[in-house]
Amino acid sequence: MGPARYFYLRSIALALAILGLALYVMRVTAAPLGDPITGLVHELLGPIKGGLTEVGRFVSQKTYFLLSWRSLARENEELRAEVGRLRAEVAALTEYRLENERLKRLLQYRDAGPARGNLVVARVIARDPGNWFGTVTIDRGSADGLGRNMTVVTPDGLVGRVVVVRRHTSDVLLITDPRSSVGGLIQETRIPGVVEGLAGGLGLLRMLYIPKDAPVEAGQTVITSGLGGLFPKGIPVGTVAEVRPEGSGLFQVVVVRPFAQLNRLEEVAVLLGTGP
Amino acid sequence: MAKLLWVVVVGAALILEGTGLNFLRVAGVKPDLLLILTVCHAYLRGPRQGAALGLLSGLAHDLYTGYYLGLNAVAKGAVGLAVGALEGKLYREGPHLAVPVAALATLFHELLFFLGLRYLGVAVPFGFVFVHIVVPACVYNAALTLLGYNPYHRLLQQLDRRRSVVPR
Repeated sequence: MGPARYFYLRSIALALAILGLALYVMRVTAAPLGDPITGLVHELLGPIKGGLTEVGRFVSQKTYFLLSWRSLARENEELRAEVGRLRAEVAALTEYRLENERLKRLLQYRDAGPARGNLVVARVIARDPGNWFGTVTIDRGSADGLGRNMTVVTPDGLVGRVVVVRRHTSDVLLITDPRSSVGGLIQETRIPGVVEGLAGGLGLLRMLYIPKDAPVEAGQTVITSGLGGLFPKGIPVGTVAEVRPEGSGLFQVVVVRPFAQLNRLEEVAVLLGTGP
Repeated sequence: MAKLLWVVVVGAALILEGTGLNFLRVAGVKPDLLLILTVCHAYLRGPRQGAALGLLSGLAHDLYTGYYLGLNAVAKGAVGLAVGALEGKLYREGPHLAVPVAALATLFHELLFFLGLRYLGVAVPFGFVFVHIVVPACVYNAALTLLGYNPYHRLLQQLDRRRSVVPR
């Protein structure tokens, strides 16, 4: 055998060996076949593969932000805008829900209250600018059937009476105004008295001409007595907050907290046909 | 131009007092923007301008409410005159003295108002109202004067500079 032929045969053998090894390695790294050698190779390679995967995962997590910051930034901006829009929508829907609840209560009061359906709902659009008086302006007037001295209420209780009527707006004198007087009586004991406002901003009333020995205590309910002809009888006014002796010694002064939230009025109901 | 500016400012303050400021009550009391404006202006400009602004803003308040015309005008005009008398006598580059002056001016204003109500036959228990309206109002107005005095002072200085530059 010459050197050329030897070299040629050696090359072929080498090629076949490499091919065989390649074929074997292919087989080993393919689906497990169950033979012992394959199983051994997998056993040996498994931890190495696991370790390399962990390293790759770690590097990927650390570099993900750097590699994808552009898309993240854009997505962040879009999500922020959507969150802002949804927040505004939630706020608006909450407002509608609250208004709906208030108006429902007014409608229920219309059917069951002293007016028996004969009332007009109005919104409060302005208030007295000062702290001493208590008047509000509502968005209903003579065009809606309002007249002077008509009673104004909320489902919680008495608010006041209409004192000025214009074509489309009216002024209401609140019961907390010092110029306001309401004939009242204590519901539990039927003791009559006069309920006057202290000052518009305070939100408190005082009930006068209660005899000194009359059994009045905190927590009792004050309602309108109907005396004087201004307000119908039986409208809730407030609850007794405090009882004090009066200067003359003959009477006691009762401080009353109104049921209606007079500093937070938004809608009121005017009882048509009331007032002298 | 300056007169028109004051009319706009007084009108805006009045509308704000009758609407948005109702939601900023503290202890049942809201600030009197017109009174604060009168006090600051009188403190910086003297009795004539202070009384004029007080009368104007008080009259605007009375016309807005539609009753007891002159009650607020007299009370605020008197405050403008009294505070204006201090012009030039007290330090005015900062709010240090303007704040207690505003508190005392509010007390004076509320006492005048109370006397006016008594004169008009409106019975209000003085002790109760003093504790629950007058004192909180003094504190609230003084606090807002602390915030608003410097910007108002700068505004007046800017108006003065503009007036001295623009030939009549």
